[in-house]
Amino acid sequence: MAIKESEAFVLMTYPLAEADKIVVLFTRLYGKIRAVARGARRPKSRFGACLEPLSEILISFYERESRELVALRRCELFCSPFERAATPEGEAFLHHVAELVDALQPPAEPHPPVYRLIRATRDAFLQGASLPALAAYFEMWMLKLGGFFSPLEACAACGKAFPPEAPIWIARDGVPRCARCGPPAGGHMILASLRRLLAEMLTRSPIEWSSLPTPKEAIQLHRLLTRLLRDVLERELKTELSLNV
Amino acid sequence: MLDYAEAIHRLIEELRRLPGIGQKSAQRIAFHILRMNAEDVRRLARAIEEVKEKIILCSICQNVTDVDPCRFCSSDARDRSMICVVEEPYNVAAIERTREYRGLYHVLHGALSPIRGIGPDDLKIRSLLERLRSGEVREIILAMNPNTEGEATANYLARLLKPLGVRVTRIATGLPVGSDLEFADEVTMYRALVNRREM
Repeated sequence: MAIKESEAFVLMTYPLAEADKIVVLFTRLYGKIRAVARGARRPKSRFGACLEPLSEILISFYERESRELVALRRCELFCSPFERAATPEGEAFLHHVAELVDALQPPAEPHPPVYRLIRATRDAFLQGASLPALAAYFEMWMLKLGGFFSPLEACAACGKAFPPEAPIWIARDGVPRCARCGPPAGGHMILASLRRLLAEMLTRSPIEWSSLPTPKEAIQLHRLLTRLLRDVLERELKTELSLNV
Repeated sequence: MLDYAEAIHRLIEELRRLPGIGQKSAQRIAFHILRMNAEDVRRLARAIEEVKEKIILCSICQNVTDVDPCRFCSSDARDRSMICVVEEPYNVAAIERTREYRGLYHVLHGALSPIRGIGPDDLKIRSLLERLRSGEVREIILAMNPNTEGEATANYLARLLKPLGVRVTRIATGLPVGSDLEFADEVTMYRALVNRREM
């Protein structure tokens, strides 16, 4: 019963028994794990404010062979977005990030780029970045890191480079097509202005990029990317509507 | 093929649907029920049935009750100028234990939580706003849990209530009595400092 240690982001918690919580964590070294935090709902719990969504913490835990859930022994808080999350919009954004990580990351598979993406997104959130823009940035990178978003440079059907000002189509599996080859069934159109913004996402940090789109463009991108995420996950996202207000 | 007789299997499956009860706990409870004497089992079954038959929501405060209006809303001894808003009916009992609060209550039956699919329309907010129409209420105390969901809900309600001209307050957060500063995390300590009081 070896004790393991890792940095981790808290994704979500569920009440368990009288005063415990089940915590879903995305750890840097062990990927997504589910843990039991004994007594976490008591006022004098040793976990304190550590288990709030997207808190970055150092955890130590142990696992038993026949148990699906690991047991949290200790938590140390590195960074908490609690104060900005204490608004309906802030909470909706953090829940959206947590839902995407939980939905797209398989259990027990570490993914350092996803970990770094969550950290950079959390930092931009704390610096006051626009939430629809930040959501779009996070969604695009989650799709890209999951292998669901191809470069938008050339048509996958005819192989020709896209003209800079022409709208393009993106199929439900994320493959791009030009207007000449025709829209794929159930595909989504991307205007040239949005395509340029998507290209900029690949070279800029979330805080830099989130100042580029207009509020309208940010919401258009967020809507487009959540549609792609829906296609990938084959289900509705619980948190997408909350950001559209 | 089922591991157990059909009736035991069905009981285990029903118990598993309860919050915090997994397969093993459901199995343990089911076999405990099987070992209980027949009268105890009937009493348990009656208690479960009665709670569904007799317990309703108070038409004023939305608390669980067996009479409408509930004993808080119909009591002349309660201060009608204050309403304490809580997430769940069992939060009322926690506040009543202090014997300090003499106002009325309002139970939301949850907190805003996008990830659990709970939005404003799923909470008893409209009935709270209707209670303010009489003009009798001067203060609303927001006593949601001190977590992200509770804070977001409190902020949402504050935005709705403040323009209506009532005083909106939030219960204090900070260090629990009997704890030690040394073990407080940054968020709790920050809140304790921000919410400090004059001596």
